[in-house]
Amino acid sequence: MILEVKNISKHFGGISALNNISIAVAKAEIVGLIGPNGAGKTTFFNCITGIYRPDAGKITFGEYREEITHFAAHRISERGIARTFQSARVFASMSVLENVMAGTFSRTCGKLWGTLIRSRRILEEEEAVRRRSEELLRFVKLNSRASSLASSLPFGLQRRLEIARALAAEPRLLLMDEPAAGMNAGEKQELLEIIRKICAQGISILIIEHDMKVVMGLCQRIAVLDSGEKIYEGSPQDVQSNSKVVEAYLGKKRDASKS
Amino acid sequence: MNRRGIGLYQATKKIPRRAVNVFILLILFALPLFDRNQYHLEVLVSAGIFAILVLGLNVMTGYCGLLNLGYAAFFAAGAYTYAILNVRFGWSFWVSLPACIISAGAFGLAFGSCALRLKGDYLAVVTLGFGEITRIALNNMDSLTGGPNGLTVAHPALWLPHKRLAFGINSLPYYYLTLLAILVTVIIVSRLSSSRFGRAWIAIKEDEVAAACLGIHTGKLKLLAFCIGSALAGFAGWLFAGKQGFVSPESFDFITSIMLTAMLVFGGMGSIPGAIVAALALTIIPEVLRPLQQYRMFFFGTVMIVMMLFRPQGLFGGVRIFEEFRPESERIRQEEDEALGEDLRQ
Repeated sequence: MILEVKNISKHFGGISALNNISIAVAKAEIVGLIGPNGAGKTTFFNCITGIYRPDAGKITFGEYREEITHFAAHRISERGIARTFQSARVFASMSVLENVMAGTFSRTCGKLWGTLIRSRRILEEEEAVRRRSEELLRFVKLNSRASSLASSLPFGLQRRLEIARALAAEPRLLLMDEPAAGMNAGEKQELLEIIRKICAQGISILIIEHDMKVVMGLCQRIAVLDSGEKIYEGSPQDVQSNSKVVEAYLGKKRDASKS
Repeated sequence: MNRRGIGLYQATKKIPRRAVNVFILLILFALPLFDRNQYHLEVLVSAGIFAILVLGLNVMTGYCGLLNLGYAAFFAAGAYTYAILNVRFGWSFWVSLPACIISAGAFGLAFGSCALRLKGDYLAVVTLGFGEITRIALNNMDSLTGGPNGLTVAHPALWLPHKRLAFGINSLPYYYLTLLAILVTVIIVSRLSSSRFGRAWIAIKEDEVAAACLGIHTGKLKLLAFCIGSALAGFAGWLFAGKQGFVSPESFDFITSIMLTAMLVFGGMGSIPGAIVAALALTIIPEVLRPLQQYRMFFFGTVMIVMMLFRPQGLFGGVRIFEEFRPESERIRQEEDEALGEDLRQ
């Protein structure tokens, strides 16, 4: 297991956003996280990536099970967890290529002095960063837009840019928050392909998604959240037929004999 | 960036940028050959010192998004460091340079490590207060700073073989010194801007959470931007004190800070040519308007309002991205779009 989350809880005032959630992700595995709106899925991501501090519980990451529960966001990213956001938070005033280059920050080590005198090492590093970023843009098929302003991309492409930027941070686990939202069928197909390719490189993926076709076609395992509780975890087939899950999404079945 | 901005850029892009830079530099170096008017040179030197300050503020505010309304305090740190070292310890102008840069940088580091816990408007208010506190402190520490009477410091001098060349009150040597200082500052700022640090700063300005999730230590990098910005102000302060031969607290008041911020906005946040052109324009315009006497500031204000109405992003705002990565023409852009369409169909 590369990521192990044990009994995480998070409260906001009197509201319990997450309650005793445990999820584990293995190497090169794709795990889905589904649930109705307000179930706490994004809060869960925020707890893992260090944006929120969980009130209780433990998060460990990596082969040596290092505890990262109270790490700051940048340290968690350095350990190898990258994420994309629900609302495609690209750096609007940078070019597409620069966005990806910004993602390599924690994997480069150019020092201030070297930057000022433009040392050979800095120039080489900068060249390597550029080549790597262009490669990542090709990977998400955005290379033809490398010079465009990030904010000029349509929403679907901003999503893909975010994926490339997250990959630039060389993660071992990628958290994706509703990557297919607002995409058309063709774009979704492309996205599925990209995600499968990422997984084939040995990167684990934890994905929040509402589109059942995407989730069912992609994930080996699915966890279902509802009002801050994990109500079920299992294979895609089991999830579809589980009564608790159906209830969370569609409400209780009325008993015909009682009415 | 709007269409007009792209148009402006398209018009100039046929000429290689390096050639343009060298050409401008040559003109500036040759300028005193044609115009030896002391008053003109004096105004240009003041504008040049402002240009260095705006470039420094640009690192803080333009790149990293840290709004600083007390920037004059760091300017004062550099100027007073030279003044005190010169008056009390007899240090010469050139020897004081590293001390001025370091003291202003350390000042920024100390203040930044406290103030940078705040964001946006709150940070702006705290820096504003800090700027005023610094000025008032300088005004009252009579034994060290000479209080409101200020300190009279030595002008710089050069030791050529067999001859000592004092700069004195002649504006010409200061003109060349300032030009050289701007050149150094531009090189520093532009190298930072295109480095991993520059990208990280802009990432922080755009979206701090996303930046942190990419492994950027936002606190450390903000402090770095703050520190470099202050150090550049110290550099400008050193130059200012040497050129004036006199420092007093009133040179570092709130209006100076506001003027610098206005210049930054006028030129366009994050733009190096913008910072320089704005510093020149906003120093020269009030001088040109002198015959209008009390209506001077009225016209100045009008210029600012018109600017904000028709070009809110500043003269050169938003151009940064296109310097290196801009598409060659609209035609190529179109081809890109078509190629992308094919990608999607595959």
